[in-house]
Amino acid sequence: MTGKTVILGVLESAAAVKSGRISAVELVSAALGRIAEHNPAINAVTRTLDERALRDAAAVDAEVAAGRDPGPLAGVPFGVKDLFDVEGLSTTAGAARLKDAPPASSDAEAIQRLQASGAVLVATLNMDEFAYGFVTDNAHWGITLNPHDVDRFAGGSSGGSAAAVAAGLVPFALGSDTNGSIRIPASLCGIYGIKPTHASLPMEGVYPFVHTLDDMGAFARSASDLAAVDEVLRGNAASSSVPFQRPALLGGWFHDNLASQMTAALEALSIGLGGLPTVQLAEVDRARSAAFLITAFEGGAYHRDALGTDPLSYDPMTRDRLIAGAAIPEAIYHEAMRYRDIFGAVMAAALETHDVLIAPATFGPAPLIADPFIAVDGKPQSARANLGLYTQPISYLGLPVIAAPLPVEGLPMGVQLIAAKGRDTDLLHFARTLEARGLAAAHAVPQEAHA
Amino acid sequence: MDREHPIFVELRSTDAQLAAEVADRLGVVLPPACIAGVAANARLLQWHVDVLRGLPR
Repeated sequence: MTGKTVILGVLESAAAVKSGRISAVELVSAALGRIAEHNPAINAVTRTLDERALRDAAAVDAEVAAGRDPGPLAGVPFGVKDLFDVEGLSTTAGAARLKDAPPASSDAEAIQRLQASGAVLVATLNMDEFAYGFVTDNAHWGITLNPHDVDRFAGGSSGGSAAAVAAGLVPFALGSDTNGSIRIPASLCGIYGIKPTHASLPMEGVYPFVHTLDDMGAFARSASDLAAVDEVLRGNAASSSVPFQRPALLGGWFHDNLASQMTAALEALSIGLGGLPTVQLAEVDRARSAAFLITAFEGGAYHRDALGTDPLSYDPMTRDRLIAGAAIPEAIYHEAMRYRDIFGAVMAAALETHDVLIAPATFGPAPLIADPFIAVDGKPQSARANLGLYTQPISYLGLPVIAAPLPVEGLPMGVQLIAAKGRDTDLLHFARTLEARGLAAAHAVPQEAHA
Repeated sequence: MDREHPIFVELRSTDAQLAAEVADRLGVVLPPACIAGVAANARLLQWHVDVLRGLPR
C-alpha cells in the first residue's frame, strides 16, 4: 500500500495542507481512493461520505487560499464508529434493525469539534452490534479483518476504527470504549488508542450502551497524532504536562493467562524502563465481574422494550446476552456499583505510589477467526466475551488509559498505560516518551495485506 | 443474596426452564431461537455474581 501512495499521519497531513503543499481535496480524494481499493480486504468501512467529504475539503482549501487558518487538523480525513450521529445518516450502532432509522438531524458533538478544527469526515466504520463484543463480528455488516493477518479478528467493538487506521485508510478515527472497545482493537491492530477519563469527552450524539462506563476516544498511528486529536476533542489547548517518574507493572491478575509473547514483551518493556516494580492489586476478579454485571444490567435495561417486542431483529449473539442481562435483579446491579468504592481505594493507593501503571491490553495477539477462543484458567472461553479480561477492571473505575503498541516482531500487541483521573494529558506525554525511546511503536501493515 | 439465593432459581434445570424463568421475569415470550443462548448467558451472569460476592468457584 505504501508503495502506491504516501500515507500521511494527522500532523503531517495538517501541516501539508496549511503550507499549500497538498490540498485538502487531494488528501480526502486519496483517502476515499484507498478505502475503495483496500477496504474490501478488511471490511472496516460501512459507508463512505464522498459528496460531503469533498465539499468539506473544498471549504478547507478555500480557507487556506484566503490566508486563514482552517485549524489544527486542516484537511485531515477521518472516520467514525457507526454509533456517532452523522447528519443525514441513520445511526445504526452496528444493528441491522436500525439501518433504516430516521437520519440524524446533526453531527455528534465530537464530529462538530473535529470539523471546526479542519478535519474532514470521510466514512463510518464497523463495530459489534450495539458495541456488545470484543471482536467486531457483525451479523449484518460482517467481520472486520485484522490488516496484519486477515485470518484474525481486528478486535472490538471499535474494530472498524482500529483496522481503518492501522491499514492507512485514514490518519485517525473515533471509537467508543465501555469495557475495552478502544484498547483491545488498538492493541490487536498495532496502533494507539485512548479511553479518556470517564465523561471528559463529549458524548452528545453517541449511541449509548452502558452510561456508567461509556466513553469515546481516538485511534491514531502515533502518540503525537493521538494527542493532537485528543486536544481538539477536549476543546481546549493541552495544559503543560507533568512527566511521570514512577511507572510500575501490574502483576497478579494482569500476569495470569498471558501468551508467552506478551509475557516476553512486558519483560522487555520493563527492562527498557530501567526495571519496573510490580504492583499487585487485590481482588481484581471481583472488579472485572462487577463491570460485566453492570454492563449486562444497563445494556439489557436500555434494550428491554425492543427485545420484548422484536427480539429476532437483533444479532443472536447480542440478543441473548442482552435478554439475560435485562433479568438481573436491581440489587445485584447496586452491589456491583458499590464495589467500585472498594476497588477504587485499592487502585488509588497504587496510583499514589506509582503515577502510571502498565498492564497488558490483551492476553496476546489477535485470535484466529476460525478459532474464536482464548484460554482463561486453562479453559477455552469465547473471545467475543472475554478479550476484556485486562481492560474491564480499569474502565470500571473510569480511569484514563492509553493503549500503546509494543515494538514486537510478528503480530501486534499493546499495553495499557493507566493513570489517575484527569491526568490524560500527562498520559499522552508518557506515551510520546515511550514512542521516542522506541519502547512503543505502531505496526506498519505489510504491503501484501493489501494485494 | 448468596449461593443459597441465586439470581436465577432454575440454573440447574434445563435450558428451556431457565430461559422461561428469564422470560417470566421480563414478562415476555422468548422465541425458541433464544432459549439456548439466554440460558447460557444466565448461567454466565450467575458465575459473575458469585465472583463479585467472593464465593469460592
